[in-house]
Amino acid sequence: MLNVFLGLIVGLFFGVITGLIPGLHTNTISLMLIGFIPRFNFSPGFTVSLIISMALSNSFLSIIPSVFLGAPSEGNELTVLPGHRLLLKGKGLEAVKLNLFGSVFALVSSSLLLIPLIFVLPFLYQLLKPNIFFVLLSISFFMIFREKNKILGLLIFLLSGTLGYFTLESNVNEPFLPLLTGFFGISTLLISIKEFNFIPLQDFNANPSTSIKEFFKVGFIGQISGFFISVLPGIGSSVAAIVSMRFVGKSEDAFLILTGCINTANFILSLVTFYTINKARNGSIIALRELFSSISLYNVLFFLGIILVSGCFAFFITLWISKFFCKFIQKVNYKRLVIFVISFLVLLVIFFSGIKGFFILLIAICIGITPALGLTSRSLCIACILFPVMVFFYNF
Amino acid sequence: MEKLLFRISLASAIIGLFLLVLFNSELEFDFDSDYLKFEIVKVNYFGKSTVIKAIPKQIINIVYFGNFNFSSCVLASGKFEEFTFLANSVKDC
Repeated sequence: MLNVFLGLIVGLFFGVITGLIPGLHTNTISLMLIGFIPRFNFSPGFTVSLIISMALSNSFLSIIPSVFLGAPSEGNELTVLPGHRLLLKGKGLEAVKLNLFGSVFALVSSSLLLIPLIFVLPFLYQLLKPNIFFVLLSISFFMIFREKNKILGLLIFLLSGTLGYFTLESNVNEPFLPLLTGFFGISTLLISIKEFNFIPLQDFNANPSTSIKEFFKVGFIGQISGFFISVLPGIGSSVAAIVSMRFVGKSEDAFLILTGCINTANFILSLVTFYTINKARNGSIIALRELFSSISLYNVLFFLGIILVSGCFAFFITLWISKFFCKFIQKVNYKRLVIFVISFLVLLVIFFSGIKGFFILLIAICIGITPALGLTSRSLCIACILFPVMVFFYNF
Repeated sequence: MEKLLFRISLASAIIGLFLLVLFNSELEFDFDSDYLKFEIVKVNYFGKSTVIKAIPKQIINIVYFGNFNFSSCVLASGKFEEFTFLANSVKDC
C-alpha cells in the first residue's frame, strides 16, 4: 500500500512537470518508465499509481500554460484563445477555474458512470466502428459550412490537413509539437504582442459567473462527448469540443468548462475502453496495456481509487500554481515574456523535432495567422489531426 | 460553486482512498508483453540455455552501452546473438 501512495506522489510530481512544460508529454514519461521497471524493481502497484496519477494531474494542469503563456498542449489547443483572452481582461484565474470545474465534474460523473458503461461500451463500439470515416467527414463539413467565408474556411481546412498529413507521414519526432505550437500557440502570441503591451492586474477573487444550471448542462454535454471520444479512435478532445459547442453556445466560459470536462472524462473512460475492448486511447493506457495484458474489474476499481485521490490533489495543486502564475505574470513585461515564450517554444521544437520540425512550425504559423486575425475560426486548424485520421480510416 | 467543488473533490478523495484499500489486489506484470519479452540467457559450453532475467528492450540498450562485464550473455530475441560486452555479474544485467 505504501508503494501505491509513493507512486501517487511521484506521479503527481511528473504530472505537474509535464503539465507546465509545453512539449513534454506524459506519453514520453510513461514509455520511458516501462524501460526502468526491471532495472529499479518497481512494483506493479507503484508503477500503476505513478502512470495514472501523472496522466490525470496532467489533464488538470495543462490549462496553465495555455492560459498564462499561450502555449498549447494536446487536447487543450483550442483553449489558448479564450483562455488567453480572459487573461488579457484580468481574468486568468477565472479561466483556469472554469477549466478546473469542468475537470472536477468529469471526475465525479465519469466515476459514477464507469460501471454502467462497462456494459454499454462494447455494443456501441461495434455499432460505430465501421462508420468512423463518415462521422469524421460529417464533422469536417459541419466545421467548414458554419464559417461565414466558406471558401477561406475550406482553404484553411485543406492547408492545415495537408500539412498535418505530411507531417504525420514523415519521420519527424513528436510531430504534434510543431503543428500545435504553430497553429495555436505562436500565431496567437504574435497577434497579442502587437495588440497588448502589458498584462492587466489579475483579479484574485474572480469567481466564474456561470450558473449551476448552465454548469451542469455544459458538464453533461462534455461528459457525453468524453465518452464518445473514448469509444471512437481518431477523434480527439478538440474535435469533440467543436461539435459540442453547437449545443452549449459560443460563450468562452462554456468552452473552457467543456474542454476541461472532455479531457478528464476521456482519460477516465479510456480505462473502460481498455477493460472491455482492450483498446488503448492514450499513451498512458498503452503503457498499462503493455505491462498488464488483461485487467479484472477489481483492478479497474483500484485504478478508479487512484484517479479519485490524485484528482483531488491535482485540483488543489492547479489552483495553487495558477494563483502563483497570476502574481508572477502581472509583474513581468508582457512583450518580453511573449518573446521569451516564443523563443522557448521554437527551441523546444528544434530540440524535440529537429530542423524538419522547425520548418513545419514555420508553415503552421503562416497558416495559423489567418484564423488568429479573426478571418476564420481557429478550430479549422484542427484539420491537421482530423484529415490524416480520415485518410487512415478511408483506407482501413 | 467553488466551495461546492472543493467539498466534492474532498469527498471523492475519501471514496478513492476507500477503493484503494478495498481493491488493493496484487497486480502482476505480464512478462510476455512486447516490452518485457526480451531475456538474457546464460549459455553453457554444451549450448544449453538458462533464462536469467526477463528484461525490456530499452534496458538492453542501456546495458549494451554501459560498462558491464559478463561474457556469456545471450539475447533471446528470436535469434541467438552473442553479446560482446562484459558484465560484472548476472545481477547487473
